[in-house]
Amino acid sequence: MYGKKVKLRILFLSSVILISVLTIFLILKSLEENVVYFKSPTEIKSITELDDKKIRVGGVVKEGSILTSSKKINFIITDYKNEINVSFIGAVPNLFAEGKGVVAEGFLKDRNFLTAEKILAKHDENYMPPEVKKALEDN
Amino acid sequence: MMQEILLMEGYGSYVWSAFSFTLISFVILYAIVKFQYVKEKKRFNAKFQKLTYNEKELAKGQPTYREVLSNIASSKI
Amino acid sequence: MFSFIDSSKIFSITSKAPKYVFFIFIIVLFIGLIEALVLSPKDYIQSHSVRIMYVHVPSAWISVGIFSIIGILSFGSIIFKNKNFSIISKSLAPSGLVFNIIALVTGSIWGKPTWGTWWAWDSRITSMAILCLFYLIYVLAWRIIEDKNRANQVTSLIAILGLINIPIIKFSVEWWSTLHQPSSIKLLEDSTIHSSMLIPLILMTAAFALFSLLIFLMKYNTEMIKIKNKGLDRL
Repeated sequence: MYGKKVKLRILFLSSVILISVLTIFLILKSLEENVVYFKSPTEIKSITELDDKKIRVGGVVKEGSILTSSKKINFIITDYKNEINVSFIGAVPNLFAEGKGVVAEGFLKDRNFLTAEKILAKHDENYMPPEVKKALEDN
Repeated sequence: MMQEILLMEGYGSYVWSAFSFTLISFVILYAIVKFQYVKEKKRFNAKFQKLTYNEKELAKGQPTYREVLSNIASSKI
Repeated sequence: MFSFIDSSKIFSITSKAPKYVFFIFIIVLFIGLIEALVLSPKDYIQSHSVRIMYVHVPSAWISVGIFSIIGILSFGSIIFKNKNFSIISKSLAPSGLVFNIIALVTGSIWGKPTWGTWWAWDSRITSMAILCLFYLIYVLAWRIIEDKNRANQVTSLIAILGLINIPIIKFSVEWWSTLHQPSSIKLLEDSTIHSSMLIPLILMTAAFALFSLLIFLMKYNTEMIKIKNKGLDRL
């Protein structure tokens, strides 16, 4: 149906794409450690060697775990399997709240304790007006 | 009411700067593309005027040129 | 292939279309802005900052969409040596690039009050920044390379390579843990955005799509006149 040249070009393009996809896949695979933005408390638990590199831990702020004293704030990040204690000095984002997503960046003291330098709030993909949320909760 | 829309419970500066950035980008992009469009039309017109009578008639005979010429004439430049 | 499309007929449409598109764009944008800034409700957790979504999300969708079209047309351009495909691709790029920049900047403005940071190197944001680089290289390649056939080949290859990034952008929020939230609107599932917030989102998407159509038409006409301009020399 098509000429020989057209077929050759199709062959050329498909091989270029195949090779690039493969290369990118391998790069992303080998960089997986860096591609993920944060680790879960469970992943922290399974770390064999603690180093003093900066690390991000993400999960949900455990209900009733926020303790504020003068400037310091303590709370627990949970993924409903494992937990990690976080302490932080400074201002937290507006969306930081119990039961909501959070990412804490800082240094691990041990597998159960993180001294955070930065707290980021993570929100989910649900958007609705306050009245609708209230109606949902009342049901 | 007006104040409520402007302040947005403290998020006003973020919301308004995001919307202004978007609209300003629109205006800049539109201005650049429009400028290039008008410039290209002017160049075509200038070149066309320099053609001899025969060449003009030849160009008018081709449908694509007819369209370009009518487009330039309709936008009055 | 595709030679049945008469370029003079296309031009007779594209040269008249911009003023109508401009008119509709202004109307849709006006209604969209009223909906987005005034009529739509605030979010139960993000409060009024959710309004930034109405410029951020449509821009991101359109910049990704335009690059996908450019990438697919580039296949046709290389395989079938179709000139019209490369002119269309070239004319689509400017609005795609601008929408990509808008998505990055408004995302940054949205991130500060909600996440608590202007920028995070998570995979969604990084892959969008890479798309922006592809756009830049694509547009620059058209400008820098003098030889037309060469420019066509190089830009097509850039677009085809950039196409690999598109699924990475789309699925980054599912494949890896990111700060960016997952998609709210999925093809096969119910959207997780309340209908009162879906209206401004759809209106703004329509307005932005009309704007990129307008820019595309003007750019396409410019390119067509440029070609005819060169053709005058050969008469």
